[in-house]
Amino acid sequence: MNLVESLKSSLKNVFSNKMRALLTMLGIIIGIASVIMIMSIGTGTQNYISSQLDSMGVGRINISVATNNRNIARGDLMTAKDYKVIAENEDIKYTAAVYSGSATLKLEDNVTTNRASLTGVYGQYKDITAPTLLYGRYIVDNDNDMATKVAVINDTTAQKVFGKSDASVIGEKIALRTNRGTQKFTVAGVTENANAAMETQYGDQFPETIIIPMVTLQRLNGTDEISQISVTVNDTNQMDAVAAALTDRLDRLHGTTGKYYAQNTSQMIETANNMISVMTGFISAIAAISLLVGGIGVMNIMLVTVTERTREIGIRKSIGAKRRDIRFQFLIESVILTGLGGILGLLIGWAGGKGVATLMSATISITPIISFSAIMAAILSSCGIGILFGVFPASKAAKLDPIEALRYE
Amino acid sequence: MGVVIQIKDLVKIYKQGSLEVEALHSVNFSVEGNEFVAIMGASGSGKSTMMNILGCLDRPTKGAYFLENMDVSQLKDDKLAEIRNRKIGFVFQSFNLLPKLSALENVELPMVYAGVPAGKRRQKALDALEKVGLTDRIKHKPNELSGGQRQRVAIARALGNAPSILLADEPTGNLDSRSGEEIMGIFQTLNRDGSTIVMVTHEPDVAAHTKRIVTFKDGSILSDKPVLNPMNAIIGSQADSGEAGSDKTSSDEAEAEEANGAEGGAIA
Ligand SMILES: Nc1ncnc2c1ncn2[C@@H]1O[C@H](COP(=O)(O)OP(=O)(O)OP(=O)(O)O)[C@@H](O)[C@H]1O
Ligand SMILES: [Mg+2]
Repeated sequence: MNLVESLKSSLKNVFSNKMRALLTMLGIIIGIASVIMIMSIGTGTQNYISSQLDSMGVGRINISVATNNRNIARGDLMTAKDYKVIAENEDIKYTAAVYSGSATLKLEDNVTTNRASLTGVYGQYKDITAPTLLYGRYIVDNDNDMATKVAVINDTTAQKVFGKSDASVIGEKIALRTNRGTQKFTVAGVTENANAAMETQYGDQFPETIIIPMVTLQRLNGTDEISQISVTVNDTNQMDAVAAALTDRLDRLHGTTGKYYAQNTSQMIETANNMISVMTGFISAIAAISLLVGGIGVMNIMLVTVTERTREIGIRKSIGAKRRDIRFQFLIESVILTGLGGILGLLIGWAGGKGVATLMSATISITPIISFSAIMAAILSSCGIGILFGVFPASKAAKLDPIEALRYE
Repeated sequence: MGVVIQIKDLVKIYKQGSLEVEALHSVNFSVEGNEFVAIMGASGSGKSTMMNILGCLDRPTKGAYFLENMDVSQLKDDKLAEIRNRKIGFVFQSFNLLPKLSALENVELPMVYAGVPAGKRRQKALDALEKVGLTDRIKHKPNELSGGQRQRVAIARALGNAPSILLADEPTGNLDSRSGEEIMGIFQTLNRDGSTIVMVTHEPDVAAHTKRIVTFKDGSILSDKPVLNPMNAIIGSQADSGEAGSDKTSSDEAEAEEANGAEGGAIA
């Protein structure tokens, strides 16, 4: 008897008692569904966190004055000198400095205003942190050297101020009111809105993010302070060492100890991933127990089936079925039961993942992801359980004596 | 034709705990090709025990069993299964059809295990069903068929792999006399066309259709006599009763005969 014949006849048998088949599969379905659901959400969350951290920059170190340090002297603040010192470090690829401020922005109707967070940028910021440019250009060194009044705004802001977002916006003016009065800035570039997701959530309360040259902003505020220096390193495996070297260097420059703090994105990703793997592992362990119980249920039903069908086995043997034919038939049936359970579990887990993601969409936007290897693992493990727990009943069936089996009532 | 079955000093002992039942005591017996043998005897005389061994469903305790000159008395399970599949057609008193399969699928089953490809299998099954006069109702499940029809399906199934011998243990035991007569008619036709048949029966009327009667008593052969004037089964007895669908059956048989005739003519 070949595989196709066995499959056909086994499918027929499984489907002839749908209720029983479904109940038998339940343990497998629950086990697979929960693993798939948790994995899809876990992977989705992992991706979400990495993309959030990525938008801050990959392999990036942010250096600032430690915020938990209460007595910050004027001399402790970072300035262009610190920037130069850090940029000189040979383990560093790109360096950028940021000085932040705030302002209000006049919108299209020329009456309404919106809060704006001003990011004064300096150095190679476009290689570290800048959102994708749509039209125009980024802030360049010359803008800082000349302290020009140019701005890079995002898509959404362009819509709000000009009622449109296209190349024609470049060269237009925006009005920013700071504590030094209203300043006109020329739009030099338009980028994608990196905070689009958060903005839809918080609505108009979310400030417009406007990028201008750092020196321009420092002059407006009458300071030479730098809020944060960001760097990317040549070798991401060396991030911790480089971060320590940089903060030490700044402490030496200012004659302080532990005044500077380096935030390292790879550490954050690692922490998040660890948390997720612990959770996934825990749920998987519970699911494994469910699969074990499901497998025992399958074995139980297969033993019942073999007993019920003793006469059929006798008939098949009497007309020439060999042991392996009978063994194969029952093994295939048990694999169909668990395999089908696995596929159902996969579908339910996938739907469950989508459901959970929808429920959570108010807080974070997760796209549940089921990898190809997860699908293969689910199907293979459920089929494997079918073989593992089907072997014993199938061998029992195969060993039946034809005469005794035929006589069975 | 040569010897199909040869049995020498065959002993079968059933063990039930400490109790031993000797169902066959040193039986010697042989069947030539194209014989039609009836085995008779009182209940418990060892007829079924004998048939099961002949059918390779069971092994003798002692003695030799040659099937077409090959000693099959102590073969392994799977080897016996292969012999059951290819060389033996077994017909049971209780039909033993698989209830979930159609008549046609039941007939195909031994050929499935023999690995006959699907198309060829179907054709052979249809041929076998035609030989037993069952060309309609082949898509029906066993429980939608009458006892006589079920037994005809069972015979067709036994014919599938063109066996060396057809064994039947009380094939008419569960049938009324008319259906029994039909079955005997089929056996006689098959025997006329060359089949070797050994069947068990309790009824002298049925045994009278065969060519040789072997009588068992207490696990031994009491007598072994040829039938001088075998009775002919009244073929088409069903047509006489005017049952629905039976006309078709008999006309199909006639067609089959015609086809054979035409073939013969072509050769001549
Ligand atoms: N599996 C078995 N275990 C023990 N004893 C058995 C077994 N099968 C048959 N016997 C015994 O062997 C003897 C012969 O039985 P067998 O079935 O061959 O008789 P039979 O001639 O076919 O009878 P019947 O006409 O009633 O079918 C009986 O005494 C029976 O009790
Ligand atoms: Mg009997």
